[in-house]
Amino acid sequence: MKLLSLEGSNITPEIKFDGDMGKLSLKGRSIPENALEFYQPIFEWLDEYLNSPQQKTIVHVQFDYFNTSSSKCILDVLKRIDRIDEAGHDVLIKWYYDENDEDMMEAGEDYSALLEAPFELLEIE
Amino acid sequence: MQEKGTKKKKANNNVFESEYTNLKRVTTFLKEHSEEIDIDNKFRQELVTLSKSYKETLDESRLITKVSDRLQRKVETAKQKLEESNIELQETVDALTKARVGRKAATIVLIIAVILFLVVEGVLEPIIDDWVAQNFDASYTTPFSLGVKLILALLLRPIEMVVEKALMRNTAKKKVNELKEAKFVKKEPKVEGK
Repeated sequence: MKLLSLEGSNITPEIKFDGDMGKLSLKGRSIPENALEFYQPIFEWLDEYLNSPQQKTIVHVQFDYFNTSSSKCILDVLKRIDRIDEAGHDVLIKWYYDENDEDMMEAGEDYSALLEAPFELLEIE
Repeated sequence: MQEKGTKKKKANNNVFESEYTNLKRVTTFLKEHSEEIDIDNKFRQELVTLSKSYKETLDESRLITKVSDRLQRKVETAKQKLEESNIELQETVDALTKARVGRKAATIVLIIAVILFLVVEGVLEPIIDDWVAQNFDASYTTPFSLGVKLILALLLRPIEMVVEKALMRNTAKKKVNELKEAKFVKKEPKVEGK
């Protein structure tokens, strides 16, 4: 499967989705004006991946900051991951947050409450 | 890195309490009347789909509201920090201006003192000496002359304060004019084709 790689910027996160390895990662800040426009290719890539996912998929999520519309898009990304779990494949979502960033930890807790897939909250020192 | 766990927490959000109550009422109704209504009944199917979709939307709304609240809190904290830093910066700028103005005032007063010294020594002292000799006893000339010099020396500090105040006023006026000009330049519309 084609690798999805998007360079991170001041307003968009770095995206690295490796379908062959079942390794997906989102890292950085997500504050684009049009969040849907940025996340659309990610949704499309995930919809394609959903058709033939790897037996084990690990998702690394490490945000510094995201805006309100991105929070909805992130949820849509994680819901697609949830569907892989529902389909009987192994999925693990790893949510990283800075040790001083309580807000990001709480955001992770909120997301985990809405998802069925295993969700790990990991503190970065 | 330190694992915090995979605990799932359903936080209560009072903002959507009535919506969740409505949802609960519908799901309870569906459960209670599951035997009465045929499972293939289209109304039942649609209601189940609708309540599922409503729950999803409600959960999403709750999440987005929380994220938004956190963002607002972050922005507010950053704004407060910025305001505090601005005050600190302004205090530092004021202190620096005061010190600069103080140095300038001290230099001016020193020049005044030198001029006064020269005027007293060269011009005033002979006049004072003559006047004292004419009106009082000649032995009073030295204490009288020292007294005048002392008064002038004591006047140096008030003169320094007056000069300092005048310089501060001048600096403030300059700053206001600069700000006014900056504002005016900012507001001036761009003239195209020139």
